[in-house]
Amino acid sequence: MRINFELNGKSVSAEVSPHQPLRDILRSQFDLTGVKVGCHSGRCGVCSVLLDDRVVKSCLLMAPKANGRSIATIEGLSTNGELHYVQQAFKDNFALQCGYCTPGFIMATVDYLSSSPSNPPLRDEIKSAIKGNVCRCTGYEKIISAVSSAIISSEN
Amino acid sequence: MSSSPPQSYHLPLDLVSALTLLAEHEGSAKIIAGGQSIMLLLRQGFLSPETFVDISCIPELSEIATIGGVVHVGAAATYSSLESSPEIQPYSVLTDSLHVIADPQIRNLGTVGGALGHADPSLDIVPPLLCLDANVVLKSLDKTRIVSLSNFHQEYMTADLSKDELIHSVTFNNLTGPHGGAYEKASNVEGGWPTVGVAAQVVLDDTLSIISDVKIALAAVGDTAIRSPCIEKSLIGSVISMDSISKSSELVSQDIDPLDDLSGSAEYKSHLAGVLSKRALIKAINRAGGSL
Repeated sequence: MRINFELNGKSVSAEVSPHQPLRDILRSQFDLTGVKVGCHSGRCGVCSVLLDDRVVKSCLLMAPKANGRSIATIEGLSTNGELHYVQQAFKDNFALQCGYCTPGFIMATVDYLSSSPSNPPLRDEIKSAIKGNVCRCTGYEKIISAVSSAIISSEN
Repeated sequence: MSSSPPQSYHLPLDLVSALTLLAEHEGSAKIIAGGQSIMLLLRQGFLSPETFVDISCIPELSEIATIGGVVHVGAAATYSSLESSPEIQPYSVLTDSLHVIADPQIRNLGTVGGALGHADPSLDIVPPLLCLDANVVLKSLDKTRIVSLSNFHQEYMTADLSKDELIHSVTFNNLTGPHGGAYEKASNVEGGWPTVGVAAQVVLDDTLSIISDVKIALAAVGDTAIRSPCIEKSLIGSVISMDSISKSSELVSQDIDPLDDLSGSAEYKSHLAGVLSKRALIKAINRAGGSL
């Protein structure tokens, strides 16, 4: 079936079948390889994207569900070559090592920041917000710092 | 997948269109809400339906409302929408559960109706709804059926749902009197499936010293989520005391039939069910205004 949706602000169209996860469409038809492939089962979060501004795991999102909706990936965050402030916060806080999980963490953080997080930031609340994402390098501390500083900078 | 038959995917915008599609494709259509559990089953080759009927774009099915003392939750309401709904906040047994279901991503797509239809005995949302004596409203083109949730899940991953029916909503009554609820869960990973999950809902008398009603329900301890009549019978009408709560919590093992699996042995889960029942009861009683 053919679906029409908004992808990183542009109207697009794709031929999909029901059993395909949107992740595979984004990677193969639109070359958006910032949407990573990990566990295939909704556990690791590396394929996280925004569906109508809410973070979801695109490996569990049946592709036809994108019809008429808006999808945002990590590739759509920066403007005119300038990093989104969440990307900048991850960079400033050294919140990545191999980087494979980073797009997923950033998309989860963007959703969290849109839902009025506590400010001053609360560590437990941040942990709940990013618990759908797995990082095997950092030990999470620098990621929590990055999210925290993104919350503070979003107020300015 | 190239050998699979052609599949059709429908996104009806109203209830009658969805029910008509189910009637037309009787037996071959699969209802989709969030679609996440289905996606896993499709990927593993356990399912290959020819027709999908996605009900997530039908506004009526995403509504959450309280009408005449009854809370109605549409089948396609997501866990996230329940978490932020003012209608749901008074029911701490539900909000406790919603906060520990998987993670934000899963809760943004996952729905109550999808969970009830999937009928997995380990779903966190079912025990709280059992404690609230929830009913499931089922609709087909020619009739509406209301089934109590305790009868809706018949056996392992099997729900009382005909091929031409869909889950329209789940309903439960407003609570009266001093009441409190809680959901306690143990899981081997953060955001994972429960090894055991226990929901408790209590109502106290006006003096806040006697338990006038109590409901306990558990996930992941048998073929379906179930209530614990042994705990309930031993506590109803009793004066609140830590001693009676500890003793009655141990009775839970008579009501459950857990299996040995990778998350733990049956013996361990039985023990855990007692510990979590006690924790959930203490929290529920304190929230109802009782003191322990």
